[in-house]
Amino acid sequence: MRVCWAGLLLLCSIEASAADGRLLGSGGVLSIDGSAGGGLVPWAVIAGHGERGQWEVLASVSQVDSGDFDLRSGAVALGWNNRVELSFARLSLGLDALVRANRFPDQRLDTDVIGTKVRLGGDLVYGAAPQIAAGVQWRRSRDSDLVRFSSADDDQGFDVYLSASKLLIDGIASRRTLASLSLRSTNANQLGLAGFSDQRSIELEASLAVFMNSNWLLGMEYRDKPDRLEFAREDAWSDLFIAWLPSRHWHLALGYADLGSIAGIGGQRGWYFSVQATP
Amino acid sequence: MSVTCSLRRWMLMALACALCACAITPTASLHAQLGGEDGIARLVAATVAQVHADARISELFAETDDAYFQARLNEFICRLADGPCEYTGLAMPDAHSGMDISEREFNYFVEDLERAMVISGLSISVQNRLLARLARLRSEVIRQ
Repeated sequence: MRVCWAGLLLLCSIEASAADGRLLGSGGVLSIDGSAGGGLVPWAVIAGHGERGQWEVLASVSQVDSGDFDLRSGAVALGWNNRVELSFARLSLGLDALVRANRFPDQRLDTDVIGTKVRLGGDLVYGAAPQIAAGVQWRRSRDSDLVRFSSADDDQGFDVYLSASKLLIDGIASRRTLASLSLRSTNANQLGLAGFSDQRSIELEASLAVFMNSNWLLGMEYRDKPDRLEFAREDAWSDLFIAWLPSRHWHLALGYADLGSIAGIGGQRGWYFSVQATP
Repeated sequence: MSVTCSLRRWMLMALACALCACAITPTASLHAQLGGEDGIARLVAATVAQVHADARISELFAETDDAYFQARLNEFICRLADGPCEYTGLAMPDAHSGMDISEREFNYFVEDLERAMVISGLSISVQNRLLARLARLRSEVIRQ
């Protein structure tokens, strides 16, 4: 985490200007998996605000704390030409409740996510067609002994997803309104924090966000997840959020997330906070 | 289960409310919402000032005859907003022919127009109603 903050500060100290070819907010934020979108789910957008001939590097840190657990993520992403996105995220789940109960020998479970996303066609804002993108997220647990101990089949896996997103300028209440749907093929348990399965499943992810004005948006997200572990139920995740985009350089989001059951303890809900910076 | 359900139900209700709000929005003509001829003239003057001051695209307007351009843009926006005007200028592809306007230059113009709409005191919803109509024309403007 400390490394991520240092990375954020470093990014901000670099003398450069943010890519500015796309409208403010059209790059979403870096999700906890590192891919640009909402906080929990990817959108079909390429990270940042670059159009053709522009590229941009972004970094973000996010945290959800439910009391029993805390989920942190540090992510960096590169958006190029409004076409390709590369991302890296480290997810870290703090297991306070389990460690307190002597049910788990370690403090945290960490998983790395390397992602790439390609815009296949369409435009988020212009034209009738939605923007369509496909992405891959390779996931590897950094605690392979522990995830096997927790009955997962494997310590690494990958997701493939297809996203469609559209921003209506004259949307709900004549506010800019973004709707996004994704289908994800995954073999991860709890995003890979609880390891990976031999089986894959297709999961649905959706979000809806309304720009109250150019700088403030309200949104909600839903991420279906598989439920394959015998010892602990896994639930869909959802959240409601408000985001403040004072400029292309800074995006802040505050939300309330429902992470369902984690490691057999249900009702994991808590505040979600995320900050993103780009030079 | 009840916890997850209640949040989801809350989200659905929020969505339903938002859609209702959409359905009962009054539909005065956009021309009137822009402030009629005077309002559009103020908006166009502010927009032209913004693009000239925007180093990213001011070059595109360097050779423009401002009086002619403003008069045509007035007519064009008036017509686009269902106002009682006749647009006497060139069709969009012809008007931008040879300029090879890029996707980002189009967005820079949109930003300048947004600033002009804020300066003109237009509400967010009126801004978006006008922008949505202009956005439909992008394919006739860029890369001509």
